Formats: sequence, C-alpha cells, structure tokens
Amino acid sequence: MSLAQKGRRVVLAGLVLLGGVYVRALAFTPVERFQGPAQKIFYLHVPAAVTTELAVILVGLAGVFFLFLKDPRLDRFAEASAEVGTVFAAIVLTTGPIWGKPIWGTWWTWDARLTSTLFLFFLLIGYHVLRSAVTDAGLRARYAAVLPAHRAATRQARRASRDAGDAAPVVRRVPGPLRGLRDAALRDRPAARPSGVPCLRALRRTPGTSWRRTSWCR
Amino acid sequence: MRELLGQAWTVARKDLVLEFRTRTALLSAVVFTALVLTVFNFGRDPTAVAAIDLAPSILWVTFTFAAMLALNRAFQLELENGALEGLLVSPLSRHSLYLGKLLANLGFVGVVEAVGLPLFVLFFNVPVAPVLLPLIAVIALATVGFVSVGTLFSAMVVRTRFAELMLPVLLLPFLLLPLTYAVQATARLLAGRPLSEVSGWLKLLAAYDLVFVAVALLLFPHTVDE
Repeated sequence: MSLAQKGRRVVLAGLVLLGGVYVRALAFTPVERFQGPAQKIFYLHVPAAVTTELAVILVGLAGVFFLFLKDPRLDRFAEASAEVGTVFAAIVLTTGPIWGKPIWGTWWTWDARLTSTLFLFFLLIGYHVLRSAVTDAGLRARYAAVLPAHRAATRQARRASRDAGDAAPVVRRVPGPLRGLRDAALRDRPAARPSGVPCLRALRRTPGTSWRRTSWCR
Repeated sequence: MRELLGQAWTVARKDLVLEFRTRTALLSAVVFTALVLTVFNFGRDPTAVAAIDLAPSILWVTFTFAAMLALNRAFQLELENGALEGLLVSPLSRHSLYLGKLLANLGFVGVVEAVGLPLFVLFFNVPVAPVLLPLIAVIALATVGFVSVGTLFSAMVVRTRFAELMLPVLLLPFLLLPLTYAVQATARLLAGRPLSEVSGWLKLLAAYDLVFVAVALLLFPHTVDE
C-alpha cells in the first residue's frame, strides 16, 4: 500500500469517526438549561479554538527553531500549520458570533479574548500574504519565521497587560462561549461568583436600551 | 556598547541628513498629517459628536498613519543603487544598523508628530496645556513602540512585491496593543483625570517598548542577512 493510499484511508476513518462524534454530540446530549440549543455550537467552536491556538503555537515554535536550525522541513511544517490555523480561526470567528447573538444579544463585542482571536486571524492572513509576496524560497522561509517569532512576544505583552491589574483590561482564560456557561452556572449563587466575572444580568439586554458589556460584577 | 551606539548614531545621522537635505519625504509626511486631521474634521458631525470625545482616536489614527508612511520609506531609501548591500558589507554590526534605523525613524516620526500635535490642538480645540508633559510622554512611548516593530518589518517587506501595501497589513495588527494603551492614556489625560489613572497605561507602553526593541534587535539580523 502506498503512502497516499494509507493517508486516504486514515483520513476516511477520521471523517467517519468525526461524523459519529457530531451525531453523538448534537443528537444525544441534553439541551443546556440556560442557553438552550445555542449551546450545541460549543462542540464545533471550542475544538476549533483549541486547534487554532495549537496551530499558531506550532507555527511560532517551528519559526523560532527554523531561525537556528535552517531546516527547510521546519518551514514547510510552519506553512502547513498556518494554513490549518487560518481555517480553524475562521471557524471560531464565524461560530462565535452565531452563539453570541442569542446569548449575549450582540454579534460582536470588543472583548479582549475576541479581539485577540481576530488579531490572530489577521496575523495568519498577513503570514500567507507575506509568503506569497516573496519569491526567493530561502528569504521567504526566514521572513515567515520572523513574523510568528514576533507574535510570541505580543502574546507576552498581552499577558503583561493582563497582569498589570488595575488600569489594564482583564483577559480571561475561559473561551467566549464557555464563559457564558460558567456565568450561567454561577448566576444563582452570587456569593460564589469570582470577582471580575461578567454578570448575566448585566449582559442581558433590557428592551429599549442599548446593549452594554462594560459592567462587571465585583 | 560604546561602539554599538557610535555606529548606530552614524547610520541615524546619515539618514537624517539625507532626509533634512531632500525634505521631500518629510514635507509630504507633514502635509499628509495635516490632511488626515482635516479629513477627520469633516468626517464627523460636529452637532452630534463633541470634538473632545473623538480627539484621542483622531490623534492616534493620524499618528499611526503618519508613522506608517515614514516607515515605508525607511528602507526604500536603501534600495537605490544597492545601498543596502553597501551597508551590509560595511563593518557595521547588524544591531547597530537596526538601532541607527530606529533612531532615524524616531527622528522622522518625531518631527511629523511635533507638527501634528499643535495642528490637532488648533483644529479640534482640545485643552492640552495642563497635561502637555504627560501627553508628550505618552506620545514618545507609543512612538517608540510603533517604530521599533515598524523598522523591523520595513526591512523585511522592502524586498517583497507590493512593499507599500505589505507593511500596513503586517504591521497594523502589532500596533493594536500600543494604540489601545495610548488612546486610553490620552483619553484620561484630556478628560482631566488624575495622573495615577494614567500611570498603569504608561507602564504598559514602556513594557511594550522594552519587549519589542529587544525582540526586534534579536530578529533583525535574520531579515537582512543573505
């Protein structure tokens, strides 16, 4: 059996299993108490977000190692990872608003987590555009490695802005939809709610007023 | 260290002398800044939105665009007659080349901002006099952040196709962070908030500068080496 044939079989088996997972996830799980059917999108959104993060980390690592080792395989690996990351980032950014509309009452909000995902997506697009604009293969590989290496530094800057506390925007580690679930779980127990967690009450839009996401529970 | 800075200064002086003697790029950047400010003035409904509410955004969008314009030409200059190759074979260290370019770009953007700020005050009638010093600190810190990343990317895109378009596409995502910090700090300053509310943002800007100057210094040799 050739490698291509083997690969095709593995992909086919993977797709069948994936189909099984989604049938199980969508049809055989209970409907979530507070969010209703909207919660089902987690089964697509969260894995896509995890995959995006993983792909981007791999692009960054491959880039940094490429700068030292100069192995063309690392460059090809980084490019492939970036493509995967772009596709999944697009999925995250599409499914997120679909969930956000019924639950938050808005398609989009400039929350730190959403903004950083959007930033990631732009960066991935920039990565592909940069690659396509350099004709020399060696130069392309080096430039492409510098960009994600830089991105790693931005991540640290984001961490710093989270840790800076008082004046800085708070970046939460819980992915968007999951945060909603956590809030829903905490809603009836105000004493147990950690500080800085958005209240569902504050998030729910009252008719006739504009939707605001700036108030936080203390 | 002394040698590094000396070489950096040589590169910076060369660029700045070139810039101030030809004046074309500098003049166009200054005029561009004035035009963007004017466009913003007509791009808002003065009866609906007060100038002071929009002022921080206007200031920073204008400065971002002006910096982009300046950064685009930083290495474009060296393309003519293979000047970049000349710089690379000269006994300059790569780090001092980067630092020199950084200094020259800071000088260039600094001049543009020095003209832009009074124009901004004039056009939008913003009371900056009581907060002038902290405002200049915010501008200086944010500019170092913009220019440190921009100088690295400018060296990178200069050998790509569509370099003028490529730079904003790559650079703008990286400018989001310092832009956010700078706008927040400026808005608080212009609203007359106490300085203690601004110091957090200033610290963040300073941290961004430190991190990105260091990272760009490390990565720069990889972008210019053959």
